[in-house]
Amino acid sequence: MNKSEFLGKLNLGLNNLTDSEKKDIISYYDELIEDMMESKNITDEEAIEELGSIENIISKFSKQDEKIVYEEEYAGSNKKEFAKNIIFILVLWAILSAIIECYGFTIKLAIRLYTNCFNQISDSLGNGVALFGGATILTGVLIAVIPPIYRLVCIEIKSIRKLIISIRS
Amino acid sequence: MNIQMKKGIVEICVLSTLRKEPSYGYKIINDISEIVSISESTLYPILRRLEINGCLETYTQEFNGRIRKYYKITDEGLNKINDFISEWSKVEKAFRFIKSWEE
Repeated sequence: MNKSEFLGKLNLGLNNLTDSEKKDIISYYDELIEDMMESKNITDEEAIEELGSIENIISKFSKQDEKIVYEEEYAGSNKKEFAKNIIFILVLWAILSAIIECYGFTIKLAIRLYTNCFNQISDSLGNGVALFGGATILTGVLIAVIPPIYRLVCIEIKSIRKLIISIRS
Repeated sequence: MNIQMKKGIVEICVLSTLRKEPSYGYKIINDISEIVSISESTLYPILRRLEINGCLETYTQEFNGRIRKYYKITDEGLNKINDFISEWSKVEKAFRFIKSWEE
């Protein structure tokens, strides 16, 4: 196994750690392998052999004991993150409410334009067509904004779900 | 060596090797291997713990066209060594006590 294969396997094996922890461990081994190669004048394969089995290394980093170290460090930032999450959810909630409110008004306006246009088309063709155009534009806008609103709703639901999970644990 | 005992002692040994000058992973392992054999995957959490507890600081420096992470002892780390040394008389006392009940 060469160095990049080893680090790739390590990366996969440490999946239950956070990205920054993973990055730190990988650069630690990257540096170690380079240092071993240089000081002992060996190849990366030989250096990796000396490190022992990769499964052993991975299981050591996944052990409870090591996790405690990480948890200590992240205990402080977790609280901050928790507060941040709540603020994010509330702000997004307010924005979504405002958007849905506007959406309702726009639907109402579009319906009124459609009914007015049929009422007025008999009196003045120009007015009727203009109103119909306006109503059509509004309809287009209403359809076009559905995907971004849907995405925002998804983000909100995901954040709430995350918050519930973090409260439970 | 007993795991609990080893853990505490290895921490102090690691800090001691940093007393003279900042060092890096591979060198620390070599330096302390004279007294305790320690694997690379054991050293890592020890270094992390010492860093989190403020006993050492890290910085990176280029070496041979690559980045090497250096560990530097802090005042907190120096205090930890001193505490260990001053506690040693108590350990000796306990040791004598244990010995005295041997027969």
